[in-house]
This record gives sequence, C-alpha cells and structure tokens, in this order.
Amino acid sequence: MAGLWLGVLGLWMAGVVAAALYLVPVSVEGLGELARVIFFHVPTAWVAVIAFAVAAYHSWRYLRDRSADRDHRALAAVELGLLFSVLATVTGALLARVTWGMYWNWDPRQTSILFLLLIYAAYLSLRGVVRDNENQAMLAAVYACAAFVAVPFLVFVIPRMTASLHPQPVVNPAGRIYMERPMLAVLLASLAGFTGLFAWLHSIRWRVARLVAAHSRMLMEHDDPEGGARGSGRAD
Amino acid sequence: MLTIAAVALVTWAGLFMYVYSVDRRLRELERK
Repeated sequence: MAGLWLGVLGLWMAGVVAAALYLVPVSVEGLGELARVIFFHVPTAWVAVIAFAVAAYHSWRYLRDRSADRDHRALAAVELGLLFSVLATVTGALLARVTWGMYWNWDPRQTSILFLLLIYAAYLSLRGVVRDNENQAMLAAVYACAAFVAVPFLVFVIPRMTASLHPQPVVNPAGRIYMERPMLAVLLASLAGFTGLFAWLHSIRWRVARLVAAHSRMLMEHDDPEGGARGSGRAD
Repeated sequence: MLTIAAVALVTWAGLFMYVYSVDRRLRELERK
C-alpha cells in the first residue's frame, strides 16, 4: 500500500515538474520564464507553515503524554520546516532579483521569514545545549508550542500591516487568486504534491530518530544493564 | 526551458529513488 502511494507521489511530482517548467505557458508581467519559480516558491512556503504547525501539534501532544515518538515527530517537523523555509527564501530571492532588482531588500515578507528561520534555528540550538533527554524533549516541546504562536503573525499579519513589494499571495484579504487557470491548476497540484512529499519525508525522518533512540537505549542497557534501564525513562 | 525541465525531471527521479531506497531500508530495520 505504501509502495502504491509513493508511486503515485513520484509520478504526481514528475508531472508537476514537467508542467511547471515546460508544459504550461506562464504570463506574469515582468517575470518572463522566471515566473515558473512561483510553482515551487509558494508550495515550499506553504509546507514550511504546515511543518511548524505539525511540530506544535506533536509538541503539545508530547506535553500531555510524554511519548518520545511525539518528540521525534516534532523534531522532524521543525527540521523539515527549516529546510522548506530556506527553499522558500532562496526561490523568493530569485524572484526578488528580477522584480525588485536585488536578491534581498528587507521587505516585510523577507524579514518575517528570516525571523521565522531564526526562531526555529533556536529550537535546534536549545535541543543541542540540554543534555538530558527528558528535559531536552520537554523544553523543546514548550518552546515549539510558544514559537508557533509567532507563525501566524509573521506569515499572515505583519507582512500585511506594512507596505510591501511582495505580490498578493494565494490567500489574500480579498479572498481571490489572481492567476490564469492553467497556472492555477499547476500551482494547486504542486501544493498537493509538496504536502505529500512533506508527509513522506517527515515519516522517514522521525522513524530514523526512533530507531536511533532505540539503538542508543539498547547500547546503554548492554553496557550497564541497571543504569541503562534507569537512564531511559521515556516511553519509546 | 526544455533542457531545464529535462534536468529537473532526471534530478527528481534520482532523488525520489534515493529517498525510496532509504525508506525501504528503514522498513527492513524496523521489522528486525
């Protein structure tokens, strides 16, 4: 079943790539062929927000049941959220170079995604400085829940409160999508494909973390049967 | 654009196969 699902995802994304980069004609004033980057810029930004929401959800669940699996899922989501945020920033900078004349000009949207990157990079730093597994997971969970409060403000509110050169995103105050139908169809297909890709990568990443944790616990128990059992107080 | 699209498709196919192989190996390890 998983193989079938992944086969569909692989073919779907191949179709998106072909359509986005060649098959669908694009017409966005001033961008020319570079407008095709939009098919990857918007979905990567979308997936970044989804990833941070997933991280907050699993962190909240961790605080309730202290299950290490929840911690692994939250960590995996933050890592992927950072990856997709970087991709959104880079693709956005490419578009900015053509439309605004420079890769980076501290536009509210660029500044807000930079803040987002810093906030979630601090999540990884926090995990790095706390050695004890249980404390690390608990602090990280509290931090991820608190950090997610900033996400809607940084992504949806602050960029709209100040003048920005950024074009109206897909979801705008008017509730309209300003795009020709073939382009819109590819964009929506890309959004769905990237969401599926995130789900797949997230599943792999947290399962790897779970295996690594189980392996470390096994090694500890092997080295010191009593101490190892005492040291791993988390329910994997 | 045709060349870019072709390179992107080949890159996607390569990445997909790589991640798929990681996923398959992971499933094997989880079964053990």
